[in-house]
Amino acid sequence: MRNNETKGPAKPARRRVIKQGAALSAAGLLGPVLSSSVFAQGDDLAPYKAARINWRQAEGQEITVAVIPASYFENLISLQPQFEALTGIKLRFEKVPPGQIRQKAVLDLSSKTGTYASHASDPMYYPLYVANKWVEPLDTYLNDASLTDKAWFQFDDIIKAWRDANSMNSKPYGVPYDGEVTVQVYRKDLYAAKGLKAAATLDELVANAKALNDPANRMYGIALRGFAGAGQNMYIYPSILKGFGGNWGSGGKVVVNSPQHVAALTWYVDTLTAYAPPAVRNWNWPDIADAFSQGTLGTYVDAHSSAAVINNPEKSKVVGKIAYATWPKGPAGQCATSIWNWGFPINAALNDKQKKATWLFIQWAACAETQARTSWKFAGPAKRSGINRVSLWKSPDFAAAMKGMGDNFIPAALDSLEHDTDVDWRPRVPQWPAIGDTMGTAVQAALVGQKKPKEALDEAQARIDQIMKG
Amino acid sequence: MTAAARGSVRLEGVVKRHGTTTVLHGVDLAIEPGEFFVLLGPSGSGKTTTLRILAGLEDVSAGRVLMDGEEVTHAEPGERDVAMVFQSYALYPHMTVAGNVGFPLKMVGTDAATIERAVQEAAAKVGIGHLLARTPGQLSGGQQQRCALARAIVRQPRLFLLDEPLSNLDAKLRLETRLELHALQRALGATTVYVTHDQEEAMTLADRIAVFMDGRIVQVGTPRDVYARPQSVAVAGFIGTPPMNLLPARWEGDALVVDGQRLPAPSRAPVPRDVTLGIRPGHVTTATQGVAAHVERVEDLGDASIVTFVAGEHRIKQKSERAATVREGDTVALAFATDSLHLFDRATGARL
Amino acid sequence: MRTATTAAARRRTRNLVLAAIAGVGVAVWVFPVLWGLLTSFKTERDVLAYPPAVFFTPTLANYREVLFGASSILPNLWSSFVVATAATALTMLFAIPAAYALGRLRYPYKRASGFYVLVTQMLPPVGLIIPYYLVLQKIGALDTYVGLAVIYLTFALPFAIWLMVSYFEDVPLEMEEAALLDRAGRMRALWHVILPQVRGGIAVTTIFVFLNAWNEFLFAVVLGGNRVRTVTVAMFNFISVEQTQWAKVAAGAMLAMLPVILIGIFAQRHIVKGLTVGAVKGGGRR
Repeated sequence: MRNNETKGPAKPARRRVIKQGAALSAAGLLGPVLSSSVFAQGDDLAPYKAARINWRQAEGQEITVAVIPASYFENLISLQPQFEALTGIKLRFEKVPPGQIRQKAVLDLSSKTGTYASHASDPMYYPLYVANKWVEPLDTYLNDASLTDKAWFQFDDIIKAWRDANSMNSKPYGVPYDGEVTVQVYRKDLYAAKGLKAAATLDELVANAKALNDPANRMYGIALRGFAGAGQNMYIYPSILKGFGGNWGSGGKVVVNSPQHVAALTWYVDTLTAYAPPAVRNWNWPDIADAFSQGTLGTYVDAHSSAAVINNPEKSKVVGKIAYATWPKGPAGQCATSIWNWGFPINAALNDKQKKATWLFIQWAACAETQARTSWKFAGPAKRSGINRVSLWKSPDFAAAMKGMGDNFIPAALDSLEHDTDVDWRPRVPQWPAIGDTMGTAVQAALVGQKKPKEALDEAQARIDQIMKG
Repeated sequence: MTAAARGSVRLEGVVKRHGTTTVLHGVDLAIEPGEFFVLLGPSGSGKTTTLRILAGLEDVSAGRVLMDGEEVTHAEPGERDVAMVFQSYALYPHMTVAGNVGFPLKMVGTDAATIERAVQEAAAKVGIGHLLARTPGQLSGGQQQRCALARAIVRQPRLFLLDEPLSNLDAKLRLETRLELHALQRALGATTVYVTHDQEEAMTLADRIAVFMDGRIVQVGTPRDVYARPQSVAVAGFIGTPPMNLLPARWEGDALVVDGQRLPAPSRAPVPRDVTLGIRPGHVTTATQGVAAHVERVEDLGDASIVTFVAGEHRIKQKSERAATVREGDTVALAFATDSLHLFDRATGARL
Repeated sequence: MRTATTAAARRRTRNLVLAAIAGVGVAVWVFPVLWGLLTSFKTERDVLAYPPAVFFTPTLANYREVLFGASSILPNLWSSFVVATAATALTMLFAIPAAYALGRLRYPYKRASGFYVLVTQMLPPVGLIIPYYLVLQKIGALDTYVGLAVIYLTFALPFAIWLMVSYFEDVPLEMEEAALLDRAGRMRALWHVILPQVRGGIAVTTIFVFLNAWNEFLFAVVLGGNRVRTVTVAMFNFISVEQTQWAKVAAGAMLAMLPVILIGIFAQRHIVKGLTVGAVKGGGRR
C-alpha cells in the first residue's frame, strides 16, 4: 500500500507517455526510438550497459534513499524499475518534506541507524557530515575501476561549482544530482516599454525597480526572498554581500558585521522597503515566483529553476514576456551567484555491500543518460532544468526543452554557474545550520525595521561567537 | 423468613481511627429486628461514621460488626444485604426513576419482568408510581427523596440505613415525610437505622435512640427514657427544644442552693456536694418566691411562648402552652417543681 | 414606565453589541476555513487571480488529484486514522482508570502534581525527538504504527489524565457508594454509574487526544517514513521547494479536516448532554 510513491506515479506517467509518444511519432520526431520501445523515456538499458562495470555486483541489496517531494525527484522515482532491472538492487525512495529532510538525515547519520543509504543532501551540511565522518569520501569509489567506469561516468563533466560545494579538502562527499543557480529574471516587455535593459550593477537593478514601481496599480519594481531562514533570505543576502566585497572571515572565525556586511544589508533593506511588495518580508521564492507570474513584479533575482513556475501555462500570465540575465555586479565589481544542488552522499554506517549498492545508485542517478531521461527525455510535463552536466547544458536537446522558458535562459544560468560563483559564498563550517538561522533572523529583523542593519548584525555576531565557541 | 425474624445488628467494641484522631472509641450496640433505631448526636459525634461502618463503606480499626449473628466486619457493602438512603440521595442522574429504583436488582441479575414489577410496587409504596419515566433532574426535592427511598426498599434488605434523609427538605415537607417514613417502616417491618442531629425527629420516629457524644454512645433508650432521664449533662443539654436549663448548685441536706437561694431538693444529700441542676423549660414557673430573675426576652410562637429570664449570671428559659403573662423587664421569682429536677454530678456530668 | 423602556432598549443594544462581537469572532474563525474551501475548488490560475474571484467555475480536479492522482493522500489519511485511533484508544484505556483513581485519592501535593503535568506539556517537544528516535530505532519501531502510537501515548496520557481527573472529582463520592451498596461492585460501579457521569469529559478528552494525534506533524515526519506517513506529512507533497500548489493544498487540507469536523459534530451532542446531566440540581449536589 505504501509503495504508491514509487509505483503509483509510473502508471499515469506511462499512459500519458503512450499518448504523447503516439502524437510525437505521428509528427515523425521520435519514430526510430519508439520502434524499439513503447515508452518514450525508454526502459532500454543499453546506454548503461556500455559502462564497463558489473552493474549486478550488489544484486539483492536493499537501499532506501530519502528525497524531497519535488518534480525533479519524482522523475527519478519513476525510473526506479529501470534501476532495479539494471542492478538487481531493491531501491526504495522516501519522500521527506524539505523542512525536515536535514533533521531526519542528521538523526539517521548521528545514530548510525543506516536507514537512508543516501539522501538528497544540503551542500552546506557537508562540513558537519565530514567532521563527524558520517559520510564516505567518494574518491575511492570514483577511482575503483570495478565500481566506476571513469570514461563512461565522466565525473568531471558534472558542474564544477556544484561538485566543489559537495567537497571538503578537495575530496568529493556527494555527487550532485540536480542543482540551481540564481539569475536575474525580468519582464522584457515592461523593460522594453521603458527603454530599460537587464541590470549590470546593483545600482542599475535599483534604478530599473524604481522605474517600474507603481504600487497604486499593483506593480512593484522588485522582490527578493525576505523570509528568515538558512535557506531563505540567507540564500540571497550572501550574494549581495559578495557584491559589496564582503566575506565571512577566515581562520575559523566567522565575521558577519564587517562594514561590507552593513553596507550589503543596508542596500537589501532599502531596496526592498522602497520597491518591493510589503509582504516580501514573509516571502520565500515560490511566493515571489507566484507574484511574478501574476504580472505584479518587474524583476527578481532567484533560482533559475523558478522558470518552470513563471512559465506554467496553467497559472502564469507572463509567458513569453520573460528574459534572464546574470546577477548584477556590486560596488566591488564582482558578484557571487548563489548556487544550490541536491547531491547524494553514502552513509558511512552501511556495510560494504550496501555501500557498493549505494554507489551504483549514485552513479546511475548522476550519469548523463539518467539525467537526460529525467529532463528532456522525460515523458511528463516537468522537464528538469537543473541537470548536473556541462555537456548536457550545452546540448541542443536541452536547449529545445528549455526553449519556452524565455530569452537568454540557458546562457545566463550556465554563465553564472561556470564563471560567477564561489564555493565560499556562505561560511562552510559545521556550525552552519545554527549560523544560517541566526543570520536569517538578523536579516529579517533589519528588513522589517525592528533593528538597524548594524545593530542586527552586531547582535548576530555576538550570538555566532557563542555558537562557534560552543 | 419474615422481616421481623431477620435484621438484628450488633456492634462490639467498634473503634475507628483516622490517623491519630479517634472518631469512635469502642462503640457497643445491639439493635433488635424490626426496630426503628435512631443514632442521634451533634455533628462530629460519630453517628454517621457508625452508620457508614454498618454499610461497609468504612473499615473498622478494631471491634466486630454482626448482622443476624453473622460477622460482617470486613464484608463488602454489596454483600451485607443492607440498603442506604443518602443525605444527598445519590441518585444516578443519567437513569430514569425506574432505572434508579431497579438498579440494585439489575446488579444481581434479576430478570427484567421481575424488576419491572418490583419497581412499580416500590414506587407505588412511596407515591412516585407516576414518575417512573422521568430522570432525577426532572423531580422535585421531595420526589427525589422518595425515589432514593424506593431504590432502598425495592430489594427488601434486612437493614435500612438512612443518613439524615429529611435534612434537604423544607420544613413543611419534612414533617409530612417524617410521618410517612414512620408508617412505611412499620409497614415493611424492616430494621432501620436512622442518623439525625435533629432530636425532635429522633423523638418522633425512634423506637430507641442512641445518643452520640464525642465518639461515644452516652445513652441508649426509648425517646421517653432519654427525655425523662438523661444520663448526663450533655444529653440533657442536647435533648428538648429549648434544651434543659442547667444551673450550678450546691446540694446540702434536702436543699439545693442556687445563687444563694435555697430550693427544696428531691431527696436528701448523703454528703454536701456541688451539682448541676437541670430543669426542663416546661417545668419552670413563676411564683411569689423563689429564684429572683428579670425577664430578658419574650418569644411568642402563637401556640406557645418562650420566656428568657436572667437570674444572676444564668439564663433560664421557660416554655409554656399559653401566652406569656410577663413582659420584658419585669422582675419575677422562679419556682421549679421539685419532682421535675434533674441532678448531675458537677465534675463528671453523670446523673445522680 | 420610561425607565422600563430605556432598560429594554439598553438590553437590546447590549444584545446587538454582543451579537456583533460574536459575529466578528465567528467570522475571523470561519474565514480561513471558507477561504480554503473556496480555494479547493479553484484552478491554480484562479487561486492567484487578483482581485480574488468570488465567482468562478468550480472544479473538482483538485480533489480528484489529491484523492486518486499520482500523490493520492488516501493512504496517508488511512495512516493518520490508524495512528490517531490507536493512540487515542491506548491513551483512554490507561487514562480513564488512572484519572478515576487520582480523582478519588487524596494525597499531598496533588495540585503540584497537576501543575507538573502542565509543565511537561509546555516543554518544547523538539527536545524529545532525538531520544525518541534513538529509542524507537533500538527497538526497531521506527516507521511503525505501534512506535508512533506509543510516542503519542506518552504525550497524551498525562494531559488526558489531568483533564479527566477534575471530571471524576466532580462525581459525588456518595453516588459511587450508593452503587456499591446497590451491589454493583467497583468495576460495575465505575462502568454503570461513574463513567456515564463523566462521559462529557471522556468525549472532550478523546476528541482532544485524537485531534492532537491527527494534527501532529513533527514526530510523524521524523519517526514515520514510507510505511507510516500521516496526512500532515503527506500534505507537503503539494508544498514542494519548487512551487506551492495552493489549490491542491487546500483540497488536501479540506479532506484532512473532514474527519475532524465529523467527529466534532458527532461528539458535540455528547458533550452538551454530558454538561447538562452534570448540571441538574438533583445530581447529588451538596
